[in-house]
Amino acid sequence: MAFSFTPSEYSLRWEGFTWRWYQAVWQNQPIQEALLVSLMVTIPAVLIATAIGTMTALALYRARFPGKDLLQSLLYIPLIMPSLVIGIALLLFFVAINLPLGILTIILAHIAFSIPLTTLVILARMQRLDPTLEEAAMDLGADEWTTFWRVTLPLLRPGIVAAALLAFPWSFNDFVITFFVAGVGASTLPLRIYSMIRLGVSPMVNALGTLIVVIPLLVVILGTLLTQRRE
Amino acid sequence: MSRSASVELVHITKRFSATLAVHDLTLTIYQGEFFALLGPSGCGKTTTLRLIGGLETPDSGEIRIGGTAVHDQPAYARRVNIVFQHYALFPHLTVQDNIAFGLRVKGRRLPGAEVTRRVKAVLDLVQLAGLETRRPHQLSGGQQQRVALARALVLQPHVLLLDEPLGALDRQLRKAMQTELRRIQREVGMTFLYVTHDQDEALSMADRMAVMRQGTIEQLGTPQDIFQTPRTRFVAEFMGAANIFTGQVLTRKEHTVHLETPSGLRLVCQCTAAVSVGASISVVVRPDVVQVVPHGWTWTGDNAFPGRVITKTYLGELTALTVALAGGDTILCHVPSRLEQQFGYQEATAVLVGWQAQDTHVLQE
Repeated sequence: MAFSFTPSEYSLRWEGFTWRWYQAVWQNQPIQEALLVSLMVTIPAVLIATAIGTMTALALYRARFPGKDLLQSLLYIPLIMPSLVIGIALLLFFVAINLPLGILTIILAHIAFSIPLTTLVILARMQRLDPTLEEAAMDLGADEWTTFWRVTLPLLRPGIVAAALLAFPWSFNDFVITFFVAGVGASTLPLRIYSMIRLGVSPMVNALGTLIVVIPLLVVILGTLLTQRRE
Repeated sequence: MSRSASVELVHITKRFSATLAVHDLTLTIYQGEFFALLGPSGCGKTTTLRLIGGLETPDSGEIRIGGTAVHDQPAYARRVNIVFQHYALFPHLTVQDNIAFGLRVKGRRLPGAEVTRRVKAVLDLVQLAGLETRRPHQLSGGQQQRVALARALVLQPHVLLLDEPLGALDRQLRKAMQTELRRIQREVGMTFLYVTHDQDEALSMADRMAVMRQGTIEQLGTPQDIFQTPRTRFVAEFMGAANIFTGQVLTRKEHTVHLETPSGLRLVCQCTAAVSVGASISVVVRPDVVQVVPHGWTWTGDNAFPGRVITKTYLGELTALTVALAGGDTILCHVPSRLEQQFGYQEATAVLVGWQAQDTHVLQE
């Protein structure tokens, strides 16, 4: 990280402070495009994965259906399975259903590997919820729908926000899976960096690497501060 | 009885997988009465309350509230409200919004001014005015309790169900809230069904009460009935009457029965039930009716036995003495501490214990 602030182009020697490489990154059009693609992938993927995660967690917590335990253990598999395997599996799947590779397949892949994360985070919050609060709402005259909107959802909100905050860097930083499902046209920021270092580690890559660590970190810190203020 | 029924339970049974929580329970609670359901944990009292509230569905039997069968009504359609054991206040809402919750739900949406007026009135009733904007976690246990009460009262339910509402409070506050609940109940004239495992609470607050055991009602009556004339050994022990003697009936003349225990005690008791000579019966003698006098005094009452003090426990107003009788029986006596201090009983002091025949009640087993 430190070398992203020094003017020297090739050596690993500190030669004073500069923002030059950040300016270069900022003005570099392929990087701008990649950043745009990354955001276009991550933002919808996180939102959709969080919504689906909330619903899955509710179903797992509330409903009783055959195969529920199986589904719950299946949720852990994507978290422990090597990304490589997931990447190849998704690629084969997209090819099998004749979906052209591009931004859409990246988004779908990101949703797919973020759902287990969001579901488990929200489920953990849900299991600490006092079920008598929902009973109390029903007792006070709220039907199931009103109870969900007025009591269950507000109480789950910290868990939902936490899930989204975790899913954001999870999706934004992903390289391996994206690498398989991206196709030729679309390139996210991590993919762009990879293709840049194949041509040698320029200080611009150092600068980008720093950004890619700092941006998600800032998002998470900001999100945490915002939720803390609400409570 | 001319009073109209508020809640009627008719042959209610509720089973949770292997356990029978409520077994063929039939009970009528009248309009405007303070009714206590008393029993040890696991006796089915809370399940009974949840059945009335609609949070559980009975396996069989019928529940009527205000004369209408409610078994197909979900909890939110019933005109009953629950004060939960741990209050179940909504942590994300203020006191004002907690209390107004039920007034703002669908089908009951009242105009804002009316909601504010009612919330204010009920806050005055439970003496919490000024705390409207607080969150539940900013309140003390006693205040949370009052908010839970206000939240249920504001909907003016047909019956208010209270599930051990004072269980989490300390003793002082519990005493104060007992008086307070009684005052509020009188003021609003609502039917209260109060579930508790604390016999003092039930005795001091209820108009009528029922003692429950294993899903059925063991005895139903006024607090005086149940305290003074427990019907079964279970009720007697649960109400704190520790002295139970079992013996054979020797003679019977009108309502006076003489019996002899295996240890050789001969007791005189009053009995209106039909018991025949030779039958084995149990009798209960409450600790507070037993008198203790120093050895050598004469006792003109019906039952008098010499014995020795084994243990002495100071309880404040009362002192509990355990006295061993000649035949090996022990008897627990509660005597006023002032009296006990005059006599100065010690462990192993020889004493005479005695009580009247009318204070000896025959149990139906």
